[in-house]
Amino acid sequence: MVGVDHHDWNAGTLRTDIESYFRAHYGRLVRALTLVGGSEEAAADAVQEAFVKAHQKWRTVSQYDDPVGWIRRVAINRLHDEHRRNTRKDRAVARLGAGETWTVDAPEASTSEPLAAALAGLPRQQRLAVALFYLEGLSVAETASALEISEGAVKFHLHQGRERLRGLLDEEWRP
Amino acid sequence: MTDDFDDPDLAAALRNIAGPVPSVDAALPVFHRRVRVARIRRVSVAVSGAAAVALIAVGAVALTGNERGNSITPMDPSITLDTVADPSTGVGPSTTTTPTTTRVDDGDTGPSSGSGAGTAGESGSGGTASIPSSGSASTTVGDSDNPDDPDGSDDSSNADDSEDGHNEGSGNSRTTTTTGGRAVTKRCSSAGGSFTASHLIKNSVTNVSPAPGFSKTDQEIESEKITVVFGDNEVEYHVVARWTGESFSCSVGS
Repeated sequence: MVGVDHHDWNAGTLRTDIESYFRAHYGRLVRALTLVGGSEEAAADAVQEAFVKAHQKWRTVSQYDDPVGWIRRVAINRLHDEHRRNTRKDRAVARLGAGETWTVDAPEASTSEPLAAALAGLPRQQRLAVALFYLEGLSVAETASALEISEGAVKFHLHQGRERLRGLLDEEWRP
Repeated sequence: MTDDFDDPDLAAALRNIAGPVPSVDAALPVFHRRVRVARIRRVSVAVSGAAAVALIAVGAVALTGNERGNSITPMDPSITLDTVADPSTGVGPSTTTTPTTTRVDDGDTGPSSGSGAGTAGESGSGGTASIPSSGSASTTVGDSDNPDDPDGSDDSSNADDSEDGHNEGSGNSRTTTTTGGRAVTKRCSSAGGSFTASHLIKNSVTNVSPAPGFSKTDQEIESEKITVVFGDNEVEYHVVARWTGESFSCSVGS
């Protein structure tokens, strides 16, 4: 984790601090949330917005034990909001009888792959747990903190998700 | 990573699905731009908020001012009240109400030879007059806001106007409002008597005193009423108060 000098609060230091965090965590966070949200653009937007909020409240956020954890939660919440907004749009369009609904929930890049399709089929919370644990490399406790659920719930989600994905993985690797 | 769920193969497969890590160098300028936009938005919101607060404050002050004005207006008697009574004949007074606010009592209380009730001026609005049989005059004057008489002049025909008339009897009371509602100079002349100002706003009396040249008499100030009892032939009193609908009565000979 990038160190922060909590005592020097001039603009330059603030900029350096937040930039350091941005450089260290932006890419991995966007990639993990892309796996959840299905759209790299939506994931990048959520992470950027989270960093902007962190920048606005950096004096407070930087005092936290895990500032990146705070940023991660903000990004996830924003992604959730976006997901809910899109779901409402889909329902509204369906009610209007447009006949065509759209969603950004499924991964775009490789929906043809069985593993990606299986991942997209996981419940959203389960998909988040899998992404944060396997892709971001968070621990069970960190994943629980990011999702604001208990560690037991994280273990349940990881177990269920791994069962379903691992089966497909074995089939792909089978000669 | 917890050993129970550790699965390098699954992690690699998921990394493969997620694709390459996005470029930070490309994202950083976007981040800086968004920070600037957010800052500008916050400043503009703060400025708008301050402007709104200032506007509300100005509005509140303006409303308070209007409220004060409104509280004055209905209390403004804007009237001249002339009450002439002749207790020697037992005939009641004439009452004229006019919407003037500037009329000053000139003290000209001439003798009156007439008797009988006068005619209420047509410019008065809401005024009522009660004539006690004992010969005392009791006059209640209502709202003086009269749109028919914008110039404030007394155009009523009063057969018993004390300005011109004269009174041969021993009792002659005359009351005149002199200022715009909060202060009134009340004058009664008779062989003793009393006058009462009622319908005052509770505890609004700030001054009750005999006018210069007149001796002090007994006075009683209640929260909503003033009574001045005098024994001389004439008394003139300054009353500074606020009232809801002016009601003065001048009793003579009692």
